[in-house]
This record gives sequence, C-alpha cells and structure tokens, in this order.
Amino acid sequence: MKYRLCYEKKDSLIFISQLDLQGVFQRAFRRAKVQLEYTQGFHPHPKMTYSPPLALYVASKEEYLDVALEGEQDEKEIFAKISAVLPRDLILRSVEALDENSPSLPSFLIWADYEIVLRGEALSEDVAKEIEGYVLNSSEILIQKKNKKKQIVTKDLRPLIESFAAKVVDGEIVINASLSLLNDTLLSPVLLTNTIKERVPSANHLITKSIVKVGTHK
Amino acid sequence: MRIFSFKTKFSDIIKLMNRINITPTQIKDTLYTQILPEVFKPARYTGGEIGSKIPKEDTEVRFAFTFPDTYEVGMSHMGLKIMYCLLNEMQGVTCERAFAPWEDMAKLMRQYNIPLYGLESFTPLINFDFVGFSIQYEMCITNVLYMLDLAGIPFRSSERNDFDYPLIIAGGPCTVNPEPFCDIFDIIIIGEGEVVTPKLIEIYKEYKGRTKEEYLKAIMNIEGVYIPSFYSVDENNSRTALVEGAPLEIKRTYIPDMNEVYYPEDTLVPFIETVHDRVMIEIMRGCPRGCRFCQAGFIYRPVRQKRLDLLKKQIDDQLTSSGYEEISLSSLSTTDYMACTDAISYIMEEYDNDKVSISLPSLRIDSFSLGLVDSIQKGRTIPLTFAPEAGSQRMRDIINKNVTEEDILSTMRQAFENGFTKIKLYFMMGLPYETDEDVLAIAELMQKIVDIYFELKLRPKDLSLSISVACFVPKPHTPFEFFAQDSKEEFDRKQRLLIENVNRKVRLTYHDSSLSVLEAAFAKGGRNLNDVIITAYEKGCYFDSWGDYYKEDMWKEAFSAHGLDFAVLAKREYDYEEVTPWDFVDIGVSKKFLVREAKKAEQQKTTKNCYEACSDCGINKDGGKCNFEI
Ligand code: SF4
Repeated sequence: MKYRLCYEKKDSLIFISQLDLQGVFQRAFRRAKVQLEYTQGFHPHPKMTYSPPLALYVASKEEYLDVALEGEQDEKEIFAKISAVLPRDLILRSVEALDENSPSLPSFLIWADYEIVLRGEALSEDVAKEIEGYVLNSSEILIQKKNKKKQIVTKDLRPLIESFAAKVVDGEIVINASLSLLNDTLLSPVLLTNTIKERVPSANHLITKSIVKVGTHK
Repeated sequence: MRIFSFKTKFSDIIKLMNRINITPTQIKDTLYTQILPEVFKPARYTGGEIGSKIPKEDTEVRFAFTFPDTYEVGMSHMGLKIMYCLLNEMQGVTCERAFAPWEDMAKLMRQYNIPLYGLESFTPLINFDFVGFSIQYEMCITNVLYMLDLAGIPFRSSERNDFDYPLIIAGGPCTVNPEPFCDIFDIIIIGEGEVVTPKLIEIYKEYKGRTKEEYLKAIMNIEGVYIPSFYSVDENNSRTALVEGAPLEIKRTYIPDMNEVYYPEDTLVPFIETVHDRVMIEIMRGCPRGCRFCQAGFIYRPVRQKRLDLLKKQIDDQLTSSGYEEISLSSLSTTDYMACTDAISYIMEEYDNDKVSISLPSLRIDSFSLGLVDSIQKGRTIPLTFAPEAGSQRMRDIINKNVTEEDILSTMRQAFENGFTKIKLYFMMGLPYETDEDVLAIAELMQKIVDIYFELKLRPKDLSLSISVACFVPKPHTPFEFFAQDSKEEFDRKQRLLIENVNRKVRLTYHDSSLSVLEAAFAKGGRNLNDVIITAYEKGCYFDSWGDYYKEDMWKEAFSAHGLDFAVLAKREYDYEEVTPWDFVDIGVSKKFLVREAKKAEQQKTTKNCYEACSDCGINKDGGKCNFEI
C-alpha cells in the first residue's frame, strides 16, 4: 500500500542534502517499526519517491514523500509513529493513503513559492525596485551553468519564473517568487539569488530563508 | 578575572575577551546566517542528530568530548558514542562533542571571531569544566593544538593556571606512551576510560571551589590516572615525583569482566554519511593471538568476551533505537569470539524484515571466516579483505602471525570458487629481520593467487586484486618496541622492488614512508617531543594524517629547531635492560614476556595463542591461564 507524506524541513535540517535526507527517513521508518516494502534482489532498497530535490540551505514548509509500506496501515497511526522519531527540525504534516487515482508527484508539482530575504546595508526601496524591474522586464536571464556531463551550457532562467516581487521589510529586502518545480526545468532559488546578487552588489549579506508552497497548474 | 601570563600579547588578550563574551545564541546566529552557507558539508557543525542530548538545565559539570579529526571520522568512533551516553547519564553532568573543523570552517570562524564550541549548546569550549581528547593515533596530536587554538585555550598545562581554563584530558590507545605530548594535558587516562572518567568528575564536583593542584592531588592515585606535571624525567628516562605520594609507576586500568562494561541503549545517528556509518557493537576486548607487531594485541589483554544474551539485548537496543540498516560486530579478531556464529544467525533471523546487513571486520584467512562472509553476503560485490601481513612463512613466523601459505591459498581458491572477485590483502614491510627475499615473497604469493584464479575453469569475471603495503612502525609495549625502524630510503627502495616484481594484475598501494618514520619517532619518543609538536603546529602542521596535508619540510624544521631529527629517533634501538620513556606505564603485560617474545622472533619461533596455551604474559596476576569461557 502506498502513502503520501507531507513534511516540513527547517533550521538545522536545511544543511542536510536530499541524499542524506533519504537515509534519515529510511531509518525513521525502521525506528518507528513501520514496515517498509523493499525491492527484490541482492540489494533490496525501500520504494520511496521524493518531491524534486530541495537545494541545500533552503527551508521548506511543504515537501513530499511517496512510500510503499507492507500491508494496509492506519494513516493516523503512521503519522503518530513517524512523528515521534523524526529529528526535531523535520516535521511531519500529513499522511494520506494513495490509490490508483491519486495524482503522481510530478503531475501536480509545477510551481513553488519562495521567500528570499536579502540582508545587508543600504537595502532601500529603490534597490528592491531595481531588482524587481531587472527580473520582470528582462525577456531573458541567461546564466552559464555546468550540466551533468560537466560541459558549460547557457540557461535562460526567465521562463522558469512565474511571478516575482520585491519589497523592503524592516531594512531587509523580501522577495516573493514563484519558480518552476518541473523535473527538467527545476529552478533552484539559490541559483536565482546568486544571479540577483551579481546585479546588486550592495547586497553584501544574503540569506535565503525560503518557503516552498507547492502550486497546482497555472 | 582571568590571569594572563607575561608572554601573552595584549592583542591576544582582547581577542580572547571578545571570544569568551560571545553567547551561545550569538554563536549559533552567526553560524546559521554568515558561516554555514559558505562551508563544505555544513551539517558537520550543527549537531541535533538522532540520539544527541539536550544539555541539562541543572548542569554542574560540563564535559566536552573532543575528537581531533573531522566529524566523519570522529562520529565513526565507538568510544565516543559510549562515553557520550555514559557521561550524559550522570546526575548534573552534560557531555557535548567537538570535532576538528575543516580549513574552510576554521578560516571563517577566525574571521567572525567564533571560538570552537560544543555541538549541543554552542557554548565555547573554553567555558567547559573538562575538555577530553581521544588520541587514537600518533599523528592527530597537532590537531589537538589546532582545536585548542580555535578554542582560545593555551597549549601547555603549565600555562593554564587554576580553574580559569577547562581541565584538558587525554585518553585513547596512544596514551600507553603519553610522554611525547604530556605537557599539553593536565590529566592523562591510561587504559579504559569508562570507570575512571566518572570518578574524575565526581571528585571534581567536590573540589570546584579549590585549586587545580589540590584537585590533581586528589585524583593522582586512581588506577589509570597520570598527572604529567607531577614528575620530572631525566635523559635516561629515570623519573622523580615532584609531589609527595605521586606513584612512580602508572597502571593501565581496565574492566576485567566484559559483561560489566557500560553499553548505551541508544546511539548517535549522524545526518551525513560518516566513515563507519552503522551500529557498532563490541563483542570482545583483547585478542588471543599475540602478533608481535600489534600493539592492540598487548595493551588490551586479556581477551574478554561478552555473554551472548547480553550481546543480543545490545543488538536489539542499538538497531531499534538507531534504525540503522547495517551492523558491525567489532573486535580485534572476530572469529575468536566463541559465540560468533550464534550472534550472526541471530541478526539474520531477527532483522531479515528490515534488510539489516552485517559487516565483520578483522577476519582471519581461513575457510571458516570465508564461510561466515559467504553466509551474510547475498551479493558478491563487497571486497573481501584479509591481512596476511607478510609474504614469506619465515617472516610470518617472526611476527607470530600464525597463518600458513596453505591457509592463504586455499582460502583464496575457495573465495574465487564461491564467486568473490574483489579481494584486498594487507601487508607490511620493514619488519624486524626482513630481507629483500621476504619483500619479494609478497610478489610471489600474489603470483600464486593470480595463478589459482586462472587455473579455475569456472572462474568469476572481473578479478580485482589489490594489496596495501604499510611501513612497519615499532610500537611501545610490544615485543618489537626494542627495534629500530627501517629508514625512509630503505622503505622507498623496498617499495620500488615490490612494484617492479608484482604481477600487473595486482593493484598496489603503499603508505607514505616519510609519514611512517615520523609516526615511529612519536610512538617511541619521550618528553623532548612536546616542544617539537608545538613548533610544528606554529609552522602550520595539522591534519597530518590527511595525505596532502602532511608537510614533511615543516616537520623537519620543527625537529631541527630543537636539535633533533626524526629519522634518527625512529632508528633508536633499546637494549632489553634499558629504561624506555614508556616503561613507567604498566600495561599489565610484563617486560620479561616482551623480551622473551622478542628473542623468539629472532629464532623464528612462534607462540601459541591464549586459547591453546598460556605463555605467561603476566596479565593474570593469579598465575596461570586466563579463563576464556563465556
Ligand atoms: S596470562 Fe596467559 S592466557 Fe592470559 S593473556 Fe597472558 S598469555 Fe594469555
């Protein structure tokens, strides 16, 4: 039987990569004595699928994990057992049993909302406007990036940004952006932030305190 | 108000004051917002793992367990996990952890004035009562200085007056010769720390308002405790007690019954992958074999096995509390644990549902061991590792490695027949009485193994044979403590000889000969090395065991700055009657026995293992053979 877990990842857990997080969850199921279903063969591994990987240093209010468990188990019971054993900065929000009609993760994870906070000196309303204008008025935002084969390729970020707004709150620039979550066009908020940082050298200190909200179709 | 010595520079005082005044909250905030987003593997520096403890509100004594290597190495160490739980179970005691930060982290910590802190509460180490270093191997000693430096704590015990600074303690296997680094530490624990450390803390509670010297006097007669500052030592290694009642001989402490050894119910589970990322359960302490080069084989005597029912309970506790997918049964010689097969079948039956895999380190080369690996390995992709240690039978007899060529070859044949293709063998060169023929015998042995593989009609594909050849380092408290080490030039020549003669199918790795020579100088060194270590650190030596980080030239300069040469020190021989720098440490095994064994080595005579016959090593004070039943 398959289940969908929704969880929050914050504070110390933002320093854990997606790969390491997989180990954290697998061990949590064993500690909770919630029996995982494994693949067959010499090297059995649990059947788990995650929402698109979250970049390091990014906190998230909504991440998903689909997991196959042995037999049918009560959703509330799974929730209680797993919640009890997770590290303190990894918080389970819901557990839901899946059936054949449930949408797969990639089919509804299209956009995510992020909050990016820039800290530093002289971050005025003008700077915020400049950043916002740069992103919204550009027809393309080209960056150089290494692909999986280690070749340098040019990537246009602009179509991957659905919405973008920047304002000043308590001397910090707060950016709200909706970025693509689709598998092959996933835009990491860290990448976008680095691009902004190049354009606005005055933002000498920069922290990405981000919240991911998984959107539905446009 | 802190007291500073005259030598302290004013700028250093200011820096130190700033550091101490920083609060844990400020440290955490600076880390999270400024530092951690810039460093490699930030999870090394945050704590909060499963099994980590929240500091007690009513903490009377703060103890920092400090490991002078990276997080990944330190968190793989079973002793750390045991002591961490043990101390945190004590009333009023909080134990935190600290590891050596990588260079990128250290640079930013200095830039933002963040002192080294405990991972549990972000409290600066300098504000702890105890800072206890685990000295697992000689070359980590500069990392101790590196960590003290980052913590703002002066290097020498004599520079840390009274309780202004934490008490700096050392423990771990290297303390069986503590002299080369003894000036750094206030207290050195020799032997197993599980019983001594809590005693030290309890007595400390009573002495908190008094002086450091009063406290040290109160603990100096506890078994396993060594207070280096209470002695002076002359160039002939003869010792004088500077404090009345300080014992001239220090007994190594150990727990005679393995079933009495504390073992925690839960364990630390790191978020990031570590070197040994699994449950580790000690099944036995000590080794019955007595290989003459192996320090562990002497300093952990006698063999002490754990009862099977207790072991099963610990396996359950650890696997359930950690959720780990792998367990390792650890000891110096797995199959010498008498309930080994029972323990393995227990895990395989009980934890089949959770797909828990088993790893068995330190296996002997015989068909029994291979059978065990066969039963726990469902695939054949994991490399088989064995340690014949020497190529010729003559040499294996000299070192008392009771393994015959027949054992080795038949085990290899059986391994190939059972489908194993990845095999790694460990050897040493530079052993006492070694000739070029003995070195070449490694190549010949490997040739025989290659031949066996190609003779097989139904051989598995993709043979991967590799050997690792270490440079022998003579260790204190072994029968080889009297011997000189080969010179760097000799090691290099022998390495070339082997490279030229070993079959191309065999991948050969060997150790840095220069680093091994330095290691020998430290293993056998005396008090005069303290100054050298500090000079070396000041020149920029740390993380010395991390390949590229070893700076041979700087070490040479550091030695010569004090009129010494490590190449000469490593070649130092001791007569059987001569007093060595470590003779004052009584590890339980008698020097007479070591001399007997050294003489037998010369005659190429072997000694039976403790299970077969007692060779009267001296550890059993009642006389006669130890009882090995479980
Ligand atoms: S006293 Fe005898 S049996 Fe006991 S450890 Fe020593 S040699 Fe082995």
